[in-house]
Amino acid sequence: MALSVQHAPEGRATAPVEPAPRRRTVLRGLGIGGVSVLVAGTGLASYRALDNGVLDSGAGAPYDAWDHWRSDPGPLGTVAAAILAANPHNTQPWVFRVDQHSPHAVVDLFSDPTRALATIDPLRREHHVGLGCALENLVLAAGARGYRAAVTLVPVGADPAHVARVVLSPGAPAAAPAESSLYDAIGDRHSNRGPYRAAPMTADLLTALSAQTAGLPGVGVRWLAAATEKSAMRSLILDATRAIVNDTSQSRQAFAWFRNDRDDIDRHRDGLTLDGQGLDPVTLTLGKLLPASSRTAGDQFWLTQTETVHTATAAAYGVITVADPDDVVSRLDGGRLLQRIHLAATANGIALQHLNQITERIDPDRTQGRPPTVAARFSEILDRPGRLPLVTFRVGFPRRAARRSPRRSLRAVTA
Amino acid sequence: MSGIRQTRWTTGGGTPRRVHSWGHGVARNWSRILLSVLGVCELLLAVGARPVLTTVVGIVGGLALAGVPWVLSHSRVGAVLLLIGAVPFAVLTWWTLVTPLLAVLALGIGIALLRRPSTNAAVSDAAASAARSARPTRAAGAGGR
Repeated sequence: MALSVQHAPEGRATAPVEPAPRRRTVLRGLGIGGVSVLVAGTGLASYRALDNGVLDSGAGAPYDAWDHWRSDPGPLGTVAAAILAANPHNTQPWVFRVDQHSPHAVVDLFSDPTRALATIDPLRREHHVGLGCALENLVLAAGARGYRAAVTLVPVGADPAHVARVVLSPGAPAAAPAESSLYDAIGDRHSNRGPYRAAPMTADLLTALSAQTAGLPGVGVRWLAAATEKSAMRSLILDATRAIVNDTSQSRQAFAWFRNDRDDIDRHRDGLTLDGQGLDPVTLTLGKLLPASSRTAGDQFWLTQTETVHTATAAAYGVITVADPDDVVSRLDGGRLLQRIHLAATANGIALQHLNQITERIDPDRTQGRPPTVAARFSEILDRPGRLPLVTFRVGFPRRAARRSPRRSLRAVTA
Repeated sequence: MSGIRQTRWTTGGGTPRRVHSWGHGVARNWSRILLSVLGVCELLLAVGARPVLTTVVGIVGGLALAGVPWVLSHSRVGAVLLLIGAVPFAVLTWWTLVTPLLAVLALGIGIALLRRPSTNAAVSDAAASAARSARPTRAAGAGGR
């Protein structure tokens, strides 16, 4: 602090006194301090942005599978395509065994029971549907690589984990254009949880998607596109979502498969992520910069999104139906159909999101001996005697592109 | 950096005096340091950015922000580099919120630096040291210009 000497009127010097702080100096100090704090905050935010992958969503090792799935022309390449399939909560519940040394290459697909969702999916309905999705990608990739694929479902009855065997023989005819377009869509297919545009799904579009049932006897798709049907589905889905949120064990399990930050993603390379929630870029950035949300906050966010985005903007709902949803073969075929529909939708610019809250309440009701009220409401909406729901999804034209989900490496999923 | 180094060399003396001079140098160049910190932040963000174009723009911008206050301040070239450093990366990555904030801060600090009467760190610090030597009782705690 600078000192000054004041002089008395008579000219006699008095003791030096400290002047009042100069306002300008104080203001300048405050300004510099404030700017310094802002710069420090920007530094912290920059580090957080770097650490949590704000600027490189969908890039890096956990997402490599989306870039390299076409590169291997051999049997292992079919597995590279298979691991990009839809699956419940991105648990990737599969293990592959590839034998390239026998006369024909053989790819065996196994269920990984350690990746089952015991409380959300207690009867492993979604688990097997996800394996069926992987199988469909594998078969499409085999055809694209010039292999004829012979599929046997549950080849060893005594081993329920061995869900499929695919024998690959060389010399398949060139893939039909429709199959080729499904194959080409594998790398672009993602669950789109964002808002959809108001444009309706025309009957022609839905009929074209229904055509994917060819060659899969016993499975079908029921479309719910009328306003009354959509309203009933919305109500049932919201009720089921609330029930899941209020069921602590289901909520905890769902939360356990949510990867809150980039470190989690790099470590596990599975599960649901912020990138996959279909958020607008600014909200997504805020979600990544702010501390991870709690389970209850995450549940509330999910319920709100289901109410204000997922069901509010669905152009139509689709339900894969089968005669017996407990039959593993039906589940696998249902999964193959679901994957085909998703790929066909992707090829035509249509978004799809899996919405399985209803069946995630139906199955626990059964295993825990509760009255089947949800199942009864769903059957009434479906109005298809003799057909039961397997899995549910919504479709529509997206407002924004879906983002990639992480995938485990080929090495991690091959035995 | 030359400004800080110059301050230390011109004042000389024992350790307490040197430490004091260092502190004084940091205080005098605080705005430059802040702008350089922002440049480093931009470099940090650019390294993890995709696609490659964004990375390149961010690295060039970060280097410009970090270097401008020390070598090219108070010149038209400095002003242009300040704009190149702050604006393109922020525009390319507006949705991150961090880069627009960084750009606003960098422009604010940078413009303030450019508008100073003399912003050559080495010369001004040497002059300040000479002034301090001449008037040792008026301690140099007022924080610069």
